[in-house]
Amino acid sequence: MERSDTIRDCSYKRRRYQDDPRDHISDLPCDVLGNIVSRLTMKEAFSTTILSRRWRYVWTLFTGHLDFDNSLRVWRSREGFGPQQHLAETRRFAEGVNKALPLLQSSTMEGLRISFDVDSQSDLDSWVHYAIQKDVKKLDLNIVSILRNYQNMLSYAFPSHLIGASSFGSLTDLHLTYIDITDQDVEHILSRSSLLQVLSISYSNLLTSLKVSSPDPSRCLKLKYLKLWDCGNLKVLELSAPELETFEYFGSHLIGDKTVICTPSLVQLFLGGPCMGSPFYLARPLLSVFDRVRTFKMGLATLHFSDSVPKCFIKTQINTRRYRFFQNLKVMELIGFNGFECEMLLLQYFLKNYCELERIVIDPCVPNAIGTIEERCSGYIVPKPDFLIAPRNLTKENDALLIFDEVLTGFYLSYGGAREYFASTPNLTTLGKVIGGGLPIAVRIQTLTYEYLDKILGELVDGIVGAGKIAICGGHIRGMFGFYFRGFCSKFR
Amino acid sequence: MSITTENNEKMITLMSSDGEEFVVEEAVAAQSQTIKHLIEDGCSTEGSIPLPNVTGRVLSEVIQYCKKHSSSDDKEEKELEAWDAEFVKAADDHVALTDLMMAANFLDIKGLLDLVAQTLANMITGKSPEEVRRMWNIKNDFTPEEAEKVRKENQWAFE
Repeated sequence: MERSDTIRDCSYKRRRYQDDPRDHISDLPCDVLGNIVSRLTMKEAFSTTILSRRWRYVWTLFTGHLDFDNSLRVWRSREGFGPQQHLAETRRFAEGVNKALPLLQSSTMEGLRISFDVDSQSDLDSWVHYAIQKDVKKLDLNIVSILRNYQNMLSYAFPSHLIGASSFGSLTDLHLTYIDITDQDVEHILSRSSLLQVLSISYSNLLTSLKVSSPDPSRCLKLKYLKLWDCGNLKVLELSAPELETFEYFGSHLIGDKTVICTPSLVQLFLGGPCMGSPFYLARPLLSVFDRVRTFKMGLATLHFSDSVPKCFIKTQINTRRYRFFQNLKVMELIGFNGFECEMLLLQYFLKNYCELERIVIDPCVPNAIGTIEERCSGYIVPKPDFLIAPRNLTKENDALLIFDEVLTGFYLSYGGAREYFASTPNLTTLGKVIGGGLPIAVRIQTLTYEYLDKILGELVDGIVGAGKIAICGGHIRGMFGFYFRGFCSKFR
Repeated sequence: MSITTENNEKMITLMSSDGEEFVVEEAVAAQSQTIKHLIEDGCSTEGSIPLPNVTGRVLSEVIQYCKKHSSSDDKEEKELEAWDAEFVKAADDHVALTDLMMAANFLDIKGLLDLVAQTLANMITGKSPEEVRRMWNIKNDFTPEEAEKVRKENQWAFE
């Protein structure tokens, strides 16, 4: 049946939407409304409760991703108001979560994410129990105990007694942060969740000798992404995942001859932390598994390391001359680049020996990721002031393009961003969020001369006028100056 | 009433609530689980299948969707996605999306149901409750006291 009478159709539409005061959406059956709200974020689904009486309990049909994130408020109350208010805030939120969860009617849930501090282990237990009951696909727990003495982080233990024979059958993503989970529990989950694709464990002190492989030889692991972050006691890793594409490891030295890594599909590798000092990954049997790696990221910042890393790296390379590791390397990232001599050595080495490299990314500012929580919250490790001059010279010598992507540094460090602060001029600078402040604006600065502000303001105003939102412009330029002064203040505080 | 065309496609007739008849290939109609079951139960042999909950206008949109999706099994997914987006936009001009949603629900066409539900969800996203009410003529029938109570109950989640 073809549509024919367009005039009639138009008039029909007008009648339908403008003159017909009926509320069509509320006439839909409950399960259909439930289907719609399940596609919203949890907050948006919640906020439909105040539309009308009809909508009051529609949110209880939600089956999407439950996202309870109060980390920002908790962080503020922890930093700003002291223990009492902090405790009250976390209790209030946990109570809200515990009240809301039983109201949800669906027997399955897409996912559960909980990210805030709590003051009792029983809360964590009940949430894990809930996740098992609802057969979630994605589980993300980032829970810090507030019963710590404000010096050391106290982790909760993963409730292993809750894992039953049929638990976590649908699980695809598992993220655990500050949750102490044991080797056995991880292996249990791996053996039960045949669909698991993403596994991320951070700051678990109980991991010592982890085996990430399929317990059943006839069935391969589906794992695509594995992250093991700062699990201080982990010494041995047996990793056998044929489909693994990304592996991120931050932590101490693994025992080379006991560690087995078999990841034929690996394309992206991150290594950081103390392990860089005596790289276990340079042990001969391991080298070949990194052959297909295209992106190699090195976490340097958190090491106050000596020359040992690059020297070790280069020495091993020379010793194994017949074996050139990272044969397919295309992108190299140095995260937490400080400009120390040893880092320069490494940079030089890669520029000279890996001609097929398409890109070297230098990320100077990384969050302070080691030490106590106070140190971690204190912000960023600022590199040496002249650290960018050497890369500039190096890239000039080697005819490479230097680009600054000032995600964190633009305006925070100084009015001219990193290029002014470090007195180093790249071929290209890109500014994104820092200038848009929520608006879809980005700025690219191509000039080698120093006409910074004019350029930025010019393009900013152009962008906003183009979007037809002049009124917001003023606010955002003020916001920009706000950034600038905040950066200024914190610098000299 | 079932007709067989030259290339041996079995045709069936669907009748909308307002008496309009649509002749479609069985494979097209069978995208609807509801119709598929009716055919399996032998309803299609005794004349047209009546669909009392669906008007002709809506049914013609639904059939358009089913035709596209039954003929493009091995076509590229991206193209189909683009077509879907266009389809919803165009359908919005002809019928209320809520009616389309009702029809998809009644006829049990999962793809269409997902598509329209997602479109409606996208319309809610980023809007304040007041804007949502205005968009769909939802009448706020809470008394001020009730509204305050509801807001208080859920306050913890909004800050």
